Amino acid sequence: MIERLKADPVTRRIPVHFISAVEDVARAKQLGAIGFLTKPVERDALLDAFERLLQSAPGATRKVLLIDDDPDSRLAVGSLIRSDMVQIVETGSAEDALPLFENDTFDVVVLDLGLPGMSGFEFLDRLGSRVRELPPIVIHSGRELSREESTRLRQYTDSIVIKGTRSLERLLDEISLFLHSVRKDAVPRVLRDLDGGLAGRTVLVVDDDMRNIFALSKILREKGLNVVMAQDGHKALRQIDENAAIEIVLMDIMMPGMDGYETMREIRTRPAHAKLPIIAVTAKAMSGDRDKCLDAGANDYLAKPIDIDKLLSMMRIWLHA
Amino acid sequence: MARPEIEDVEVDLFMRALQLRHGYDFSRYAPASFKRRVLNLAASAGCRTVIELTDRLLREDALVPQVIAGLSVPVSEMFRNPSVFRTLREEVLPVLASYPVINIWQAGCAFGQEVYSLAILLEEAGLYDRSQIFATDFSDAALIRAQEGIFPARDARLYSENYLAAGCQRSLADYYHARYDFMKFDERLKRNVTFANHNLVCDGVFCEAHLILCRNVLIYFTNELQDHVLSLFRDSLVRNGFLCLGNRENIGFASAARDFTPVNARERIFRKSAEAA
Repeated sequence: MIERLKADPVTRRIPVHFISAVEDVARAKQLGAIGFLTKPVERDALLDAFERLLQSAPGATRKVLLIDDDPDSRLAVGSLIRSDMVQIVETGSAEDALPLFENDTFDVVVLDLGLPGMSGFEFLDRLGSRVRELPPIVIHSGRELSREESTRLRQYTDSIVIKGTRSLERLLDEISLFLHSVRKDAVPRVLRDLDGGLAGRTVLVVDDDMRNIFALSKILREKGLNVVMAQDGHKALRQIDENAAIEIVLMDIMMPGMDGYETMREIRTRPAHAKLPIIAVTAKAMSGDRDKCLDAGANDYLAKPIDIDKLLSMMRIWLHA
Repeated sequence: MARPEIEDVEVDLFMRALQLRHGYDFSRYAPASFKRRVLNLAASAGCRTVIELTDRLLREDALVPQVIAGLSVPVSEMFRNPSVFRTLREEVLPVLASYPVINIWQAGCAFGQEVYSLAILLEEAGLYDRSQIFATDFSDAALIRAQEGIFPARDARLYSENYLAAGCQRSLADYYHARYDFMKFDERLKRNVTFANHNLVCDGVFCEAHLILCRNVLIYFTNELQDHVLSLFRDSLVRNGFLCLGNRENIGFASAARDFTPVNARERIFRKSAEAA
């Protein structure tokens, strides 16, 4: 059916949403469906699906929510993105913004971090626990952020803009990215594919590359693992000392400050962790690099880009051993 | 068919030996400059022929760092081509200031002149404390030199002139101490620099970068290898991230070039296109 719809120029642009008893999200997407639901369908999920259908219809306006306590700043951002295709909703506080999500969906939320009352961080945590799927978020911050703060925000978004002389142009870049994209990431959450050998186990992921940390933890969480994250060697050691639940470590090698080799050697000096399985993950490809990892205390070695299937089977083996 | 020159055969065998025995792959380096470097190496090692050097390379592991250092490209100076640094200061840093944490990858840092230049630039822009510079090279010998931050005093004048031409605000002398024939740069300039071994030929993505500097390295690579390295840069950069190449380098022919848009063509500064995955 969808193949025939998409083949005919007259019907090609009609958004199609699958509702099926068999789950084959990848194939549906490949054929051009904008979403996928598995029977039996819940009422809320169905409403979400309709919403998505309406939004991706050609000519539909895009809705942007601006949360900023400074009216001048709202005006500046508003005039930056104003067009016939964009509907802008403004609020001055996170308290006022939260209820809006009960009856409405937004294509982009632009969030100021320096709000009076409920902070932007708290807003994101609360929103994340309320809605099935977080809308794209662009953070607009009037002050610099600590590393911890930006790591915390990266769980929700990688669009973080610090205000400054050239920041409005970047803000526009980030917002338009979401306004013009065909919401290809808005797939209904795939059911967790629990893995017998891995579910319920706790893994520490040590990497300074945020993209890796979040991509990996997403996949590992889907397999039912508890994921603990550390951005550098010192934080990793602290986690290992404080969190007795950690059963296996994925260790990036090239990190600022204390690198992966040094961190592994340090872990091995602790009698309690002499046998803690460590899988070294490295961008280095020469044969000597593998030996260096093993010498420093790694149990196994995986080259980037990470082959997920290989990683998972490696983890099963080391958690089983 | 004409017979190849003996010297060319020797250089080829040297290259194979280096790869088979030590894992370094130079097969996609531009042949003319590679040959020149190998001949220089043989001469400075006191070998009459390249074959003699190859013989030693196969049997003396201790010779490898010296050979790799000789084959890498360590010629640079501080604030080389000052107008590039001026453009970075005026056009690129203000945009980078909008990121909460700024990651910069200096690929092929050699003896580190550009690393210290960059640190000074960031310091003066008030951005250094939230910046992280990854300075990489495939030569361990070069990395050791780069970490020392010691340069001959005779270069001080040129470096100072470059510094001022780049539009920097203080005096280069604020950042180094001169001792005898050398100047040593302030240790504090290294506080957010990570020096690491990385080989552009075979190693992969290791960081998420907002700016990558790789000046006068690609010219020593064949088109195929340049294309590979540009893809590596593309995959490391954030969307709209910046790439700064050497002022004699062109990327137009490379298929990965369509993922980059020039922002200042004269200074060879590009941005990763928003559409590039």
